[in-house]
Amino acid sequence: MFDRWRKQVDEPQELDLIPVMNLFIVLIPFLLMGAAFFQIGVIPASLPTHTPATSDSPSDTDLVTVNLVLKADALQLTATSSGVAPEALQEIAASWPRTAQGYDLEAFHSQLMRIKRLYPRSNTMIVLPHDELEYEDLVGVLDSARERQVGVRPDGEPDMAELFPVVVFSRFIPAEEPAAEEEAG
Amino acid sequence: MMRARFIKKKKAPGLMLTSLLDMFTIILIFLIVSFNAESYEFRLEESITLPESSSRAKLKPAVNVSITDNQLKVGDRAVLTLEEGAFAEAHHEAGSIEPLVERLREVYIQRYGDPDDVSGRVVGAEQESDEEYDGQEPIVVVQADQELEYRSLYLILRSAATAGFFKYRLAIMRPGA
Repeated sequence: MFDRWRKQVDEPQELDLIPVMNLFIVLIPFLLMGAAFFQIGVIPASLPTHTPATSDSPSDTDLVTVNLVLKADALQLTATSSGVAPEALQEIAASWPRTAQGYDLEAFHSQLMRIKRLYPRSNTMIVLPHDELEYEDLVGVLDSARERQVGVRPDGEPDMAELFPVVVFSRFIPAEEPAAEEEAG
Repeated sequence: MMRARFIKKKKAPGLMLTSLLDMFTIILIFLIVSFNAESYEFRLEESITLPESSSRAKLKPAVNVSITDNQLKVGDRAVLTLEEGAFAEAHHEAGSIEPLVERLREVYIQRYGDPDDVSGRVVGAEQESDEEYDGQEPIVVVQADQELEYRSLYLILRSAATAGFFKYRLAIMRPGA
């Protein structure tokens, strides 16, 4: 009699996991529907707009607008500002030929960092790509122009800061058109 | 009587659920991590391969314009049939795509009111940060293949501008996704 009682006490009791399983089976399809298996992002952009009585060129001495011309054979960088001397703007202009590997994005990025150091409040870049430029190449160029690395975060990820995040797309109007003298856009 | 006491009662065989529970726990954690809590639905077109970009700007509610090999769509509605993903030369010469302009204008009026009423609109190169954007401003998200030529992309943006949209987002895929 005593042995039977002792056996019942010593026997480990099994947990009833069926309700937990039921909960999991309900949760999994619900989460599966809302799961994102790819990450979609966006690049903000705009087009030039005509606003009377204002100029595209900033009048501040620490502010320039960068113009990026993406030609089929070269990448050209210039800057405009009504508050900065033309000689200084000429000094920061640069051009790099396109090689078989593509545009020289490292040199382009370095030049933008230099411009940012000289004119820290600048953030706008007007982009004029050639007609046949592929979207992927355009995004690659914008990536090098939008952000710069300023350090490394404690979790090992690069710490990024803005470079020229405001992108304005424009286009050269073909020379044969009668309105060739008007501004692109 | 004595014999009956020694006959053991047969227990119903129990399932070993521990390992199954372990597996479910791992799946659950993975799904919770990748759960997208935003209610905004973005339908990626199957025939489009988005370019990869390091941009950290998030996708927010906006009007979706997608260009596939054979169609130009606003949301789910096709507005133009294309041949090999290219626009007719007439559209390039006109500087905009009339069916796209018409459809975008309809959407603008439905969602945001009169596109000709510019009071309170921020014009020029001003762009708000993503944190400030509340989804109430007219914005077009362009979903295009990575091989699309710039002149076609620009034509879409110009058409959106003609319809009253002045801010655009280019959809990209984050690396590692």
